[in-house]
Amino acid sequence: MKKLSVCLVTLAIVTLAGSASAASIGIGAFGGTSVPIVQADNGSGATFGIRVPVSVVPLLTIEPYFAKTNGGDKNQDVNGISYTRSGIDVTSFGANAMLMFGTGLQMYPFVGIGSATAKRPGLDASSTQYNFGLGLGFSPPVIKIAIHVRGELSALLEPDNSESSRKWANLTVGVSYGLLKFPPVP
Amino acid sequence: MLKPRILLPAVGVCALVASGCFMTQAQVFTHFDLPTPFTIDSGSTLLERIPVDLNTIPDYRKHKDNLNGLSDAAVVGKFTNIAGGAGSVEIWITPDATSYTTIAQVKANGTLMWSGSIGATGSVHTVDWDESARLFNSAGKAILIHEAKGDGVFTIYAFGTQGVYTIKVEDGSIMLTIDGGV
Repeated sequence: MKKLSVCLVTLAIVTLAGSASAASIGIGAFGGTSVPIVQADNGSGATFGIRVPVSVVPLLTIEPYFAKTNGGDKNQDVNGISYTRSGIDVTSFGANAMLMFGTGLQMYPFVGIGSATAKRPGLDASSTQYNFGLGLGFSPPVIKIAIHVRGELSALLEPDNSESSRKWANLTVGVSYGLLKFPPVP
Repeated sequence: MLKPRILLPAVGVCALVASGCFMTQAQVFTHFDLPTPFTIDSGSTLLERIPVDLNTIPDYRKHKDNLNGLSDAAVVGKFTNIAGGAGSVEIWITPDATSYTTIAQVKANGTLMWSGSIGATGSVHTVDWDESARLFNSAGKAILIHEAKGDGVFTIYAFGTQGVYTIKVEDGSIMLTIDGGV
């Protein structure tokens, strides 16, 4: 049900962009580091994925994404014996909404929602994910490529427990390419 | 005099913390140590009854008032089969403090929480965190979570399944990752 909701929202956003004036669509990839926040049983790892920025109106960009995060192992000592827990791997998809300020050099706060599946031995569960963050984008004149640096707080609700979540701080660097503009620029 | 631009976010953060918002929860590691060593013997002790009071754990007490659940759980330890065929060690849970003396009583009134296999006589198996997390029975784990969110008092029973057995358990511990407010 949650996955269906996320799909419908994403579809609506893309459809909306298609019908709006002066819209644009791009595609991008990103990678970076992911650090669990106050998670005693999960370690730091890498995150990477793809994004499809869709500019709907001048200030607003909606960005469906797919991301994968590989958690690092975590050790805990119990009475002098060290035990290792495998890190949590999270696969997620959803959409972010970004408020774009500036041209050329842009700064943008963003919020997002998605569906995520968390896996490790003894864990295989899907839940809702919320994203909050701040990005910095640089788009050189003429060429259609933009470089993005983002700081993000990602919160994944615990399965069957909406009162609690696991949180990660993500720092990513990405590149996006402008695919289409509506109406096309001559 | 605090300016509104400082005061408003501060009030927001306080409201999040006070309301127990999911954003203010953390995953805190703690553990309850089992007696070490203990031996389960089909000829004499038959089963090991272990009363558990999580309130004896400082980290649990600290987060008990804003505890929202268990993110992860494991039963770890070194299991040695002193005598008997290959089989399993089962750990059953009963809510509250109970004192059953037979396996039949435990099975009639408790719920299977965890089960791990062990080889024939002489085999030694150290159960690690990853392996153990896979060995939980969902119904028993649900009771463990319920009790952890409740008064923290319950009883676990350990016994073998192979008919005739003598199994020693050393450095046993129940490892818990609790969802608690920061």
